[in-house]
Amino acid sequence: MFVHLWLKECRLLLKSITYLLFVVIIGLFYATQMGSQVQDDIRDADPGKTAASHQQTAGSTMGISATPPASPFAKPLPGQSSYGEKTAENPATIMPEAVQSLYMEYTDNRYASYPLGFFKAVKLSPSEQEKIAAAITEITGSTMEQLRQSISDASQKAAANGLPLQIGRGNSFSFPIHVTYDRFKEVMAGVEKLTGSSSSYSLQHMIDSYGHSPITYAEKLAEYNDFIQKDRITGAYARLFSDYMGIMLAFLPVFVTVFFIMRDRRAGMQDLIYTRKISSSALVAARYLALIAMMILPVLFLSLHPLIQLMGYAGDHGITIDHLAFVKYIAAWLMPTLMVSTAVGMFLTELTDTPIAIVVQGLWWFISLNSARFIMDGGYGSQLILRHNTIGNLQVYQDHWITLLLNRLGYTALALILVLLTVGLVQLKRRGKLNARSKLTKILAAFKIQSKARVVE
Amino acid sequence: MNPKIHIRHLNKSYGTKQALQDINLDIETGMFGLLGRNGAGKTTLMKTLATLHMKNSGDVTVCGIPIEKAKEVRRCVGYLPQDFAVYPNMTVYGAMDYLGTLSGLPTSIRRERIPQLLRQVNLEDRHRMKFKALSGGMKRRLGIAQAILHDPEVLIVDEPTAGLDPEERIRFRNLLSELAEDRIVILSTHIVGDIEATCERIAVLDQGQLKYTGTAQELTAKAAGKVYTVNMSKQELERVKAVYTVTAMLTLGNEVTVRLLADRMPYPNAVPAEPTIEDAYMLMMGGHSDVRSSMA
Repeated sequence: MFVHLWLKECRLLLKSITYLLFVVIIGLFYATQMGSQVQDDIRDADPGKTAASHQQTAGSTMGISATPPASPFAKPLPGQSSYGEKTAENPATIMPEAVQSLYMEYTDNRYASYPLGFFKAVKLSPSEQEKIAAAITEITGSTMEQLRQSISDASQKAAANGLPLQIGRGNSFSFPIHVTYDRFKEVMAGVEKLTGSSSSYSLQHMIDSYGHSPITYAEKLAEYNDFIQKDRITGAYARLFSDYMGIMLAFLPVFVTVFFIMRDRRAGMQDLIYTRKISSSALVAARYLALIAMMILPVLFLSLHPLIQLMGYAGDHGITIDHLAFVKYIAAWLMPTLMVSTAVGMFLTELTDTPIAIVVQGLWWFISLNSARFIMDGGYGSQLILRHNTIGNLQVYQDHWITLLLNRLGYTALALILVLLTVGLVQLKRRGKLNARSKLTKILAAFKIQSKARVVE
Repeated sequence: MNPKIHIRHLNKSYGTKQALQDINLDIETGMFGLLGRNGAGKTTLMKTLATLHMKNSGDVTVCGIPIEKAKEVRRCVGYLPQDFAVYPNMTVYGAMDYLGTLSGLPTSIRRERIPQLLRQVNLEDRHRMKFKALSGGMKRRLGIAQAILHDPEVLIVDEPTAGLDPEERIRFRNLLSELAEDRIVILSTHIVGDIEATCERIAVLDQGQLKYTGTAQELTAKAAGKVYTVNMSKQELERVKAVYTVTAMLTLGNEVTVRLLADRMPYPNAVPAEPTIEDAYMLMMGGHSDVRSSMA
């Protein structure tokens, strides 16, 4: 009986416009973000076309890799001029680039900060500005006037050669460093206190933004071997696929869920359903599982596109791939995200009989997406949206395996708790014990009367 | 086994508003009419019996099952809400099948019973029609079909004939009477004609209190000797309405035939008339009611 109900709910979903929109949006997102990824990588691996210095971003708009790799299919050769760059705690790049950023922001007295992922321009008081100036002076060994003069000289010199001024390592001007790395960290900790922990001067942010070092041949070769032997190609692409789909599955399902659950009230069918014999747990479970199944279906279908291309490549080159890699990643990586966003939609819609879940989930999505922007290549934390916007980087994935596991298990548990609470809410509503909409209407009506009374006064 | 409903000292309130006050009622097989003005507590009583509302106090058993055991009560109760509707794009058969699944009916039973019931409510030819394309009468008939899909011993029908044309209303009343042969059918309405034509036993609710319970004939008998018809001019009408409860009027030119309630002969030319259930109801409610007669 449960299976019959589940199938009927699936069929009802299939006919809903919101679900069809979900399928279209997720399809378009895949097409624009990753649609040609595998094909491009295979083409770029062609020795005739691949230049050693060729760099390619892993994604497009959503993916900004600090050290974009060449085609992962291309086996590195010894003696190439460059193998790309990697993120690393490299004082030689971190110190001049961080102090350059600080100098620029000091000049404008406008310090970029991202509390909860939202951009905020921090303006400092004159005394705080003096402290920033003192920090820059200590790090560079130059007064602010001397720095201004040096930049001006470099600018004139560049202009004389018909070139724009370029600041940074290997350019016409680079900020001098007169302190040790340990002292630099201490000074910048003071700066961070003034500009805020979500500014650009936390140690982690400085490493992510300014710390980079060249990849060696041995490292590049090891990365290639990981790609072919451990990831068996498909694992690497499945992670990138999960990165993109995770962004969508953390938000879009709440729309489908809210409209699906609210249709009972819209159609005036609640009493009719509530008086049936079915238990509240079976009703909620059938609907929840129908939503999950129907929303994971297009994701599974889309994963066939890169898989088929990789199967073709592997067949031509005698490489063994993991045919189930995408299914495994979808189940373990994406499923908890889908489960949570659907459960939030169900719970809040049953609780309030309003579409408030869209606002709540939208806010969570925005914060999660922005808080993960410094660990785009993998790293993970407690975010709902896990990022791994690069091909490969298996080592980071393996290093954070436990964090990843706890994250996914945690969200799965949260989703199940919300579903159980939803069962309780439906049970209360069936006995007329919960009618939040009626209460909200009364509160709004009382508020209106009060407002009118104030206007009259 | 004859299905029975026992209600003892039932109280239900919404905040400070007492919706049902110390209701005592026994209902047995057959049509049972629940009469009362809007807001009298009819829907609250029906929703309580349909397990949609919790009582504050009192004892209620449906088919011998305490109302607290909602899941068991739902097995033996069929409910047609006042504003019956299903998803607009669902077909007639699809709606029956979906609701049958929610009632826990196996596929084989659904396949057997749905065509039978659609035939019974004269919707057999419309089984592929979408709900939104059905007329008001068809929707109500589908409502009845879905309510008896799981063959309940109690059928609760809330204001089923409101908005139907006279022909549909009579057809619908006859359908309910047929269904009441072997089950309890509780019909809530403020249309006295529906009750008069179908219900043997009735209850009258007013402001949450039970004002009458018994047979329709006994209620009608309460108005015996208190109903008169009088012919008068239109100019006299306002003066008469100020003194007596007028239950019907028939205008012919400048003359009006008035049906009114009075304890004794009101005018020398007044003629005693046979009371109807509507007259008795108006007498009981003190002449103030929004109950409508099907004849009005």
